[in-house]
Amino acid sequence: MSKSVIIIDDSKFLVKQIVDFFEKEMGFTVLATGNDGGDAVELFRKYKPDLITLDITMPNKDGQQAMNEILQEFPDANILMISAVRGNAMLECMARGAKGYIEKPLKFGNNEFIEEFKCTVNEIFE
Amino acid sequence: MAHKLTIREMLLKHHTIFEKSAVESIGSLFQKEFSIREPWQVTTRLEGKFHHIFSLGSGDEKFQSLIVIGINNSHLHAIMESDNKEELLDAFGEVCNIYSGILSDYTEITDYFGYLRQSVPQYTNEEVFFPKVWAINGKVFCEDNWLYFGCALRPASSID
Repeated sequence: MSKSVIIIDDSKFLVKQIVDFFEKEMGFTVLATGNDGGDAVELFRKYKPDLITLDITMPNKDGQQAMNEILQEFPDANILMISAVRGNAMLECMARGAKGYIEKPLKFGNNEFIEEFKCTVNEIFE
Repeated sequence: MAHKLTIREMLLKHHTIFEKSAVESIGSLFQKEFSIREPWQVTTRLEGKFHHIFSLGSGDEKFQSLIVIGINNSHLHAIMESDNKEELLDAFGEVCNIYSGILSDYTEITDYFGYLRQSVPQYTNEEVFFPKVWAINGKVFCEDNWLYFGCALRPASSID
């Protein structure tokens, strides 16, 4: 049975690319997509996926806030941050319970990037 | 004692970082070939009138920045086939976001400016005018079509 994922990013453009990656490269089932932290928390509660991906900079509620809320309610949640934010943000997210971090730009035209992305996702489930 | 560069000196010294980061950010999103044909300029304002303007503010305790992308309809459709404002903001706003992130990959930039936290991208179809600020700006080409990129930086205002 394939693993399930929810994709959250305020860019619908990128959501499509990330959905494609998870469906075609990873064989995951994408249960839902959302565009802000509020969607993230609501959809996680509804579907309880094997994995949720979160952008950080989003309107209404950002990804770090959503991550904290999800982990408070679901401490075992698998959360993968996908963001252009650099610096301490990555370390903070990992320290607070994210299981992985992918830096944008998402170079889906580059095989090396795809393999690294796959590796990061697979490590979450090891 | 080494002289600490001014913002203007930083922009002049590292203009290639700003240029190639712009090429990488837009190229990564649209999966097309982009290039710089002429060196960008360091100016004391961001200014320009375009059919579509996308901006992203960032900041921390010490510095603030504004990234701007401007594009006219005559060049837009070679890059993206849409006139829908939301779709345009989605895509070009993400380019601004990625550009900000890529700039932060360079220690030459972060050692001086730090890691500036992005806000959410905005759209306007009027004129961008941001005076009294050091900025680096120029064109990024996709074949003969081009768009405008600008990055302005200044010390942060106190909020006390």
